[in-house]
Amino acid sequence: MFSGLLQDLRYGFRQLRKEPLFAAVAILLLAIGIGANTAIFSVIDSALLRPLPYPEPERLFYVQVKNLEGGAAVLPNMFEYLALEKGISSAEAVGAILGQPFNLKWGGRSMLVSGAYVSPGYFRALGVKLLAGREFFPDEYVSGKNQAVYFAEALWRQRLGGDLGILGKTVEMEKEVHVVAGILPGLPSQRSTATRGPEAVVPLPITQEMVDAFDRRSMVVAVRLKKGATKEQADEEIRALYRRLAEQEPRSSGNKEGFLVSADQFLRGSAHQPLIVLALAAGLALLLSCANLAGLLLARASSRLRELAIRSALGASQVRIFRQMLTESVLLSLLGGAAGLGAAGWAIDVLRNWDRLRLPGIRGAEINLNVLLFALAVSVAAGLVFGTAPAWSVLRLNLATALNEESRGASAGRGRSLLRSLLIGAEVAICATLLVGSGLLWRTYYRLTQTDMGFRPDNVLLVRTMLPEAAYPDDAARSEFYRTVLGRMRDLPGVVEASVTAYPPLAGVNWGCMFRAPGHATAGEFQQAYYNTVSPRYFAAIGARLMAGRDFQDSDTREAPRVIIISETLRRQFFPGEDPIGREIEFVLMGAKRAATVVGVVQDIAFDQPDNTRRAMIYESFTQQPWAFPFFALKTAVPPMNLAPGIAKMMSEVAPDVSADQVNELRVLIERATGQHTAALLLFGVFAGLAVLLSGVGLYGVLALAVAQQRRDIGIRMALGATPGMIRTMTLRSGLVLAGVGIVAGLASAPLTGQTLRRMIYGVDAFDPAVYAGVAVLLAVVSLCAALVPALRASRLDPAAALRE
Amino acid sequence: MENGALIRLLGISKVFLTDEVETHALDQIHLEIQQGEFVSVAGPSGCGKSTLLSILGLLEAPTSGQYWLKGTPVHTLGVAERARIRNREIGFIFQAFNLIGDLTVYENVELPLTYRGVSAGERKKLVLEALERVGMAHRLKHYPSQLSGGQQQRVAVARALAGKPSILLADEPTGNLDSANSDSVMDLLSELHAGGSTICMVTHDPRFARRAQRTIHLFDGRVVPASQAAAL
Repeated sequence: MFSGLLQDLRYGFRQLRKEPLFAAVAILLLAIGIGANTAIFSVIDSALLRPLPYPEPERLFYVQVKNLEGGAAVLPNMFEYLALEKGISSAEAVGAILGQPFNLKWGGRSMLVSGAYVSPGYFRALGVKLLAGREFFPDEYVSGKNQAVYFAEALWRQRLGGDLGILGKTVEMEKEVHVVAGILPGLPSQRSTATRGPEAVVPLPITQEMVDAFDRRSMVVAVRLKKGATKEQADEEIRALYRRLAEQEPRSSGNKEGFLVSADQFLRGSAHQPLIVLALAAGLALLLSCANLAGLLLARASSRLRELAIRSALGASQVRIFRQMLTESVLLSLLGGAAGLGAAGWAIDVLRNWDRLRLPGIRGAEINLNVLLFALAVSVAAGLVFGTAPAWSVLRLNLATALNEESRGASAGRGRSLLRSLLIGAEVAICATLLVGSGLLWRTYYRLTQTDMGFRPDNVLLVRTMLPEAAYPDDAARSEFYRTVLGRMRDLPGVVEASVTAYPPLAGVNWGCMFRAPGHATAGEFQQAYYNTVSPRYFAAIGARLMAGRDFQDSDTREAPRVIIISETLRRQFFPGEDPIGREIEFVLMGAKRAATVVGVVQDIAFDQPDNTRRAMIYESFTQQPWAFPFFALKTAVPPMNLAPGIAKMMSEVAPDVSADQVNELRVLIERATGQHTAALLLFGVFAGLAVLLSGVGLYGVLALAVAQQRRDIGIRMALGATPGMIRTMTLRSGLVLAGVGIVAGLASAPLTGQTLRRMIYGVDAFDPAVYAGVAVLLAVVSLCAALVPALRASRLDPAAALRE
Repeated sequence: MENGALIRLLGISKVFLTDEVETHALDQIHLEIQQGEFVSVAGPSGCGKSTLLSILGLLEAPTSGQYWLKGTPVHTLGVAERARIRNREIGFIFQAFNLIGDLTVYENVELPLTYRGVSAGERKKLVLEALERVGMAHRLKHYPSQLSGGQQQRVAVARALAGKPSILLADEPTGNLDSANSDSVMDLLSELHAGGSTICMVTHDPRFARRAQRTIHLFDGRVVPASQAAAL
């Protein structure tokens, strides 16, 4: 058996050497298909399959809170966290982390690092141990004494020199001295492994102000269950706890219920969605490659009939011939797999270095053992898939028929050409399916980018800063800083307008507040709204339109009456048919209640996705409510990034302790917001393009082969009076019928693609007639082009020569 | 030029160019075939018999000379027009039968009629009539591979007859058949001739050449007298 296999392999190699062009085409087709699948798998491996970097991750959960009246789940607030910390008996450890950027001074300049506050139990819950250093001391969790810091390994190595001598030394962070207590291993960030985790971590001090800020739901609470404890037990405990909290403090936890979600689900979130879609597309592209190859091998089997008949006549059993052919296919696919692995390595590099591509897990994608095993498995499976049909056609080989077909005065049999036709039909069907998916994604993308976002991103520069609390302890100090910086910014050549905001459009910030309008129908109840604070001329800087009233003014100082601007949605929802200008509104922000007069209405502005604009917003004036880590928004008359060096220089002169190293165009936020979508669109588009190419080539191949094999038939038809036009029409028709069957089958199965993509298509019908019609027309045109050359060749055949053959 | 001949060739020559070598397949052929005549073309292998038949059947154009068919010059026609005339005026019978393997007996015979645009009803009538004449009406739904060589050639004759052509061109019609089937096919051709068909048959078998009214002898692409052919 083994020697027989070796013999088959030897013979297979010899066959490939004998037909180098065939071998090259086959290996190329396989390299494309297997390479694409391997590359996508490496990303899936990185994003979804690798275990979380925590011991026994199945015992690790996070707490989420649902509103019993509906709506999306949110995080617990500090009040709830304190109860959770002590109130889950089935938990081994409970801890929380609260994200917060920090200004770190290093090497004489400030840099903004992603940071967090952590409670004592957080790393115990995660099971994470320090790479070096000591635990935070208990008294470091007290406000004013939390001046110790852990640095993440990546920050420590890449930006802080990577020297363990840093431990025990002090660094300046937020204008305060912090002792470097330890080095942490890299931590995945919440919900997406595509963005970085916290780089600097300090102890979480708990103040009464934080406990009272019921609407500040940003505590990420990790729970490690005891061995043997179940999620159901813990959920039951948490439900009971929330019932108690609701009675105790309905403003915080009324109508709310906490529950656990697995660490895997919490940290990876919906990262799988685009990856599954891309895996599907890559799988279909591989199927196409296999179908093409099966067609090639069928043609090759036809030309090898005599050889196989002789083998059969010499006593080779049909099973032996079947095995021989299958061995050749698998050998070919392994060679293709090896080439595909190289292609995948290249593709991973390209994808990883593609700045604008936001694909979850892409940063950790690599060729590892898992990926190698996957490539091997896919190669063998592909070899079996594309090799079975031709081998099966040979298994049915009848020696007498094979010889008859060669010698009789009638043209070749129908079986193999039927199989080839079926393969082409399947190829076109797969292609149609991929094109529909691509079309739906494209329509969504187009809609997202063409939608009115409520602002104009052209020539807007964003500069993120953070004021160290120690240097700017109160609103007066901050206001002075902003006034100075805005003045200097406006003096810079190329700056048309300068403004400041707590967060810009599309930042995805959900900063909630509650409000009510005295004298209004719903006056007695607080309603949910969202909050931002912006300076005068911010709306002009980002190109947002004021619909009524006025903008904030420099005269709206902290001493002047408080004023707000509301969004169009808030006006529509709460003041339908009324003029809201001059109305007084009460709102509660982070536990503090205040009243302000509405002075303007601004159009709705997208906050997380370009088409997601409708949100009840309350804008407060930055001159009355300055924020410690805002974004400067500058309208420029020159390419925005040209101004970055001048701004950095100006900032270093005005406030050397304030970092201004995060500078971006507003347009980049749009690219980020649509990044995952763009990635899916681009890669899906690449696969769909490949599919069009492969099915076009496949159709061309089948027709060209049919013409070559039917030269005699065509000669006969011409002898019987068929004109060149008739022959051309006949060949074109046979190609278009094949393609037509494939197009119909593909479009019939395309709703499955729409269903698979449903979470990635917005505002576009999964049965969008324009997409379906476009795909049908495109494939018809491609099929026509693919069929044209063989048709022309057939019509130019010399009948006398064909009949003499 | 009109003189009543069905076919008239004047100084027909055919030169093939292969690898920069000129091969004179036919050289100054003058030939007339009258309506209702049964002519055989004889000669050794490579003498130009099949080339002559291809030119007569408008499958190839002559390099020089004139070809008149039913009083119409056809040597100047384009490819499409030649195909149209071939379809209407000429019936082919090949040595290798040349039936299309993917089509049934009925469909093979029907094929030239579809190219002519004959209606389905008329096609059916003509196909059945032709198959009746050759005794193959009982094999309508068979594929060529399911028939013997003799049966295949009968179907090929029926296909040639179906369109009621002006002339049947038979290229070694018995070349692939055993003697019994060969006799049977020759009997069929004789019957067709007796019924008024014009036939031009290429053969190198003297027995079958003698069944024709007249034999044209070819040697090295030229028509030679019978006496000279015997000597050669």
